[in-house]
This record gives sequence, structure tokens and C-alpha cells, in this order.
Amino acid sequence: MSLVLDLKGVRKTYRGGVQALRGVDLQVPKGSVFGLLGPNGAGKSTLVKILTTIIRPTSCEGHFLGHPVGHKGTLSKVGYLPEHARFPEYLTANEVIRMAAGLCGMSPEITRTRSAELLDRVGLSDWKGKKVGGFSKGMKQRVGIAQALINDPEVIFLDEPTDGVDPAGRRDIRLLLEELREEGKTVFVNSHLLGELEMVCDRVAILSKGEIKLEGPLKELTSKKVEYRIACGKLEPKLQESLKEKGARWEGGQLVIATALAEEAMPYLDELRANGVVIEDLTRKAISLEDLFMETVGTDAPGAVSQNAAKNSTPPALK
Amino acid sequence: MRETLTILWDSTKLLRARKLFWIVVGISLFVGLIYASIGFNDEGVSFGFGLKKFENPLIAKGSGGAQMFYLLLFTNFIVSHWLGFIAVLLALVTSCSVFPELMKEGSIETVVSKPVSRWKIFYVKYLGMLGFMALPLAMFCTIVFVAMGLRVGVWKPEIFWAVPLLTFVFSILYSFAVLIGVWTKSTLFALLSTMLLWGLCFLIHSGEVMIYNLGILPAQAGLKIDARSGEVTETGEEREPDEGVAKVYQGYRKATLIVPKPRKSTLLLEKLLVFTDELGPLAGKSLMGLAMGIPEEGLGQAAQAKAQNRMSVAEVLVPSALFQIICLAWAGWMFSRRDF
Repeated sequence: MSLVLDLKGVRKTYRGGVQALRGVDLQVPKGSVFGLLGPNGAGKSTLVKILTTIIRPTSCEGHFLGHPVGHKGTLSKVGYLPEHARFPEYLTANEVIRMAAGLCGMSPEITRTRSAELLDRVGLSDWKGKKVGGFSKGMKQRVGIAQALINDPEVIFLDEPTDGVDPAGRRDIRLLLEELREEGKTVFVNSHLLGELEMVCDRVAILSKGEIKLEGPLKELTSKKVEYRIACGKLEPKLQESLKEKGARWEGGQLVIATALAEEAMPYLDELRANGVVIEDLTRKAISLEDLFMETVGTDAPGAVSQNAAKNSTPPALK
Repeated sequence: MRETLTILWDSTKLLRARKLFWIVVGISLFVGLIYASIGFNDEGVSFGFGLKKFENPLIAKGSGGAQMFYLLLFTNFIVSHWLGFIAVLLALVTSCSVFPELMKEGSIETVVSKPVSRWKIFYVKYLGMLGFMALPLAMFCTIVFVAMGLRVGVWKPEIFWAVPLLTFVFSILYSFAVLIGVWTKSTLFALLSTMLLWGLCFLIHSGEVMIYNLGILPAQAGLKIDARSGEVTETGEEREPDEGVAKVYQGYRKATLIVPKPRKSTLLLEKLLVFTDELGPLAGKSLMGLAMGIPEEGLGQAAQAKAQNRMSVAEVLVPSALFQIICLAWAGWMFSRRDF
């Protein structure tokens, strides 16, 4: 497996002693869409900024695209869309992209061709001559994505790429990420929209309090917690008790069997059928990314309440 | 090279996008045109391209007085007041926000995440911003150059020394504004601090001028001033200044040696623009001095010449250049090491 990123012990302590990263180890294979998740202040943006030389790490070992982290030349193969990206309002969409190309040392001829292609790709061809100062947030994000791709990068960092983008635009960005993966690019996506990440990411890492709490292929992580849910109306207490003793649980009017293997669910079905119970529905349910996130991060998120407290209490009234 | 050109190209776009830049250009053109509008005829002088006429045979067309009036108006008023103060101030106000704005969250990341060294981004951006001063100044000097040629027949390319010299003056102050801007990310703080520095430099300059004019100049000009009555008598011979005053003056000079000298750098233009061929014995004299009848002949003139040359060009420019180098090195270091 070819790695674009192989990090060991990345630490960042800001002035004042705030530890943003407390020893992050991370390996990312080439050609994947990698989701970097975590609550606010977890260190996601700090990690990306260290890789793009915006922030200097306190300590860092490992390589990024075959070079030590902080090597400026590596950035010619990297594209980056920062969170809350702001572009000079006096520049047109085309000029923002030209400027990014110029800073990457690209020739004007290649820039012209690629700029036109990218503006078309992000749906801004008709707006290329308009100043970005008059653009909506969603349009600015599209310009930001285009400028991040101008140098045909091998690795692209997108920090909250769908921030301020409408549903159709989000879908377009998702499709773009899939295209980039097909082209063999590695895309890092920081986002709080877990549902969207789930649709597009191959791998995820969940950061919390400056540490990676969980990392791996998304399918693998979510399939660790699979359950079968059987909807079968009300059961007699005796039968319910018997099924519980065998390991099933009763939740929300459904019988829940915690297993990833279908054959392990069969005895329960057999017992239900033997007792004349009508099976209304049978669902195989994997844990969602959101569930995985909440389970991993728990109360680490600022302002979060414990899961039990959340389950057992009503939300506070809005003031 | 492509990166450098891109940063400079962005600076020109920024320049063109700023309303204040066009206001500065407009004011420069206006002042230049006012100067060009002064004309001479057989009766005297006219202003506003002949709109308002004043009869005065001393400055009538073709007279030495007309030439002197026109040239001294430039060296004595336009250089020291418009170019040396208002134009620099306007350029500072226009360009002061550039670095704090560049360093705002969301803007800086897209620039420093590119394969360009931060030092290069910083210095090329800085050089590009000097255009805020140099461009309107070059336009202004062109107008003055043509006006002088057409009005009084003096074609003096040395006028264009104003462009590098005044840009240098601007750069002394702008380097400090950039240092404060990079340090605090605040435009207002950078501007106010720079104004404070400028004021301080002016006070130091004024103090030096005052001590020299009161303590040294009269002795060299063969004048005796009675401190009680204020009566001035001509002794007719140059004498040594009072030892105590000379010590104070030398001490002051030494103490302020390393202080940047924007005002004195501006006034260097007067040295570079001596119209000896055109004005003859009147060259180098101040319009104010002539108007007030201050003796500028013989010993007085020699003393004036000494006064003008009391500081070498190096003594004026080197501390200013060193100050600028220190400010830029410090600001560049902060910019290159900072976490954004």
C-alpha cells in the first residue's frame, strides 16, 4: 500500500500552553477520500495546517509525499481550501484561480486551459469574469475548490468544503470528490456533516482532544457493530424472557440481535416462528458514522452531555 | 520568477481597486495642474491658466524673478510640504491595511500554503506596496517637469530624483507600519504608531534645527544676538560658537545619530535640485528668507551653505536605511515564523 502520509508523534502546543495535538500517528494510503472528524477544538484544522506549512509543529516525525513535513516544494503537489476561505474581493473568479496558479509557478498557457476547465467543473463558467466580492458563500466555496485544484495536486485538503453550499451544490461537491478519487488523488475532508462524509469517505480518523481516537476504513469501522432488528408485534412475556436469556434485547418495539452474521440470527427467527409470531420486518443495521462518532468522542465535544444523560432527559428549553 | 510576478500583479490589482489610491492620484494631478496653471505674462503672473492675473513687473514673463519664483515655489513649498508630508501621509493611509488584511484568517492560508517561501511573499508584497507612493509621484513629477520647461524654459530631469527619494522616505515609515501591522494585525494600531514615530522624528529634527539656528548659525554668520533684548548686530566676522552650546549640539547629534530621518531625507531633494545655472546667485536661497529680507549674502550666505551641508548625505540616509532594514528583517522574521 503506497502511503501519501506517514506521520508519527505530531505535537503542537500553542503559546499559553494549549495542546492542540498530543502525539498524532497517522498513515493515509494514496487514492482515498479521507475524512478527518472531531468536535470543535479537536485539532483537525491544526493537523491540516501543519501539513500545509501554515503552522509549525512543536514536534513531528514522518513524511508527506515522500518529504519531511514542512518541505515547501511538496506543496506544489498539494491543493488546499481553508475553512472560511476569503479571497481578494477585487479579483474575479478567474483571477483568483490565476493567482493560485502563479503562486504555484505554473505557466500562463497551462493556467488558462486548466482555469477554464476547473471553472466549468465547479459550475462557474458564466461567472468567471465577475468579482468574487459579489459572490454568495456557496459560490466562493466553489472558487476555493477550483483554486485548490489548479495545480493538478496529488493531495487535496478541503476544510468544510460544503459550508454555505446549497443541497445541489453539496451533491456536486460529493460527485467531484468521487471523480478525484477515481483520478487517483487523495482527498482529505474536514467536515461536521457526518452524513455526507459517510457517503464519500473510504477512511476516517476521529480526533478528540488532540489525539486520534479511532482510525481505519469506514466500512470496517461501521461493520464492527452490526445488528439484526426484527419487528414482530408484542411478544408474550415468557417468550420475551427466553429470547433475552439467549442474548437478544427488546428496544423500541423490536427484537435486537447484536451480530454481523446472519446464521447467528436464525435461531431467534426459528423460535419466533415456532411460537407462531408473525415477522413483520427484518433489517440488518450497521452503526452509522454519527453513532460511531458519538460513541468515540462521547463527552469530549464542548458542550456535550453524556449519552446516558441525553437519553434519559428532555432537552433544555430554549430561552 | 512566476511567483514574484504574481505577487506584484496582485499588488497592482489591489492598487487599482482602492478608491483611496485614485483619490491620491487625483490629488496629485490636481496639485500638479495647479502648479502648471501658474503662468507669466508681460504684466506679471497669472493663476488657473490665466483665470486670475496679478500685476507685478518683478515676476513678469522673461524676467529672472519669474524663473526664480516658479523654481523656488517647487523646491520650497511643493517638495517640503506636498511631497514631503501630504503625499507620504496619503500613501501611508492607503497602504497601511495591506499586511493586516493579508494576514486575516481565510486569506493568509491560501497564500502561505503555496510552494513559495514566506520571505518572498513578504518582501515582494512590500516592494509592490511602494508603488502606492512611486506611481502618483512619478505622474506628479512628469507634470512638474513639463510645466517648468514650458513655463520658464527650465528642463530639469533632476526633478525625477523626487521619485526614489520620496519613495525612500515613504519606505522608512511604511517599514515601521508593516512591522507593527504584522505584529498586531491591526491597521489602526499600525497607522497610529507610524504617525507617532513620524511625529517623534519630526520633533527630533526640529530640535536639531532649533539648537543649530540659535546656537551655531548666528556665530558662523557673524551675527550677535542679545538674549535679553533680542537685538541682532552684525560683527562682520565669523566666530566660534559658544563652547557650551557647541557641546550640547554635538551631544544632541550623537544621541540622535541612529534615529531615522524622514524629514531630512525629504530635504535632501533641495540639495539635489540646486538651480545654479538658472538662478545664479539666487540658487539655494529660501523663498521665505528672501521675502523676510534675511541677509543671505557674504558671510550670511556662507553660513547658510554650511548649515545646509552640516549633515552629510550618509548621516541622513544611513540611519534611515538601517532602521528600515531592521524593521523589515524583524517583520519578515515574524511573518515567516508565525502560525496562522
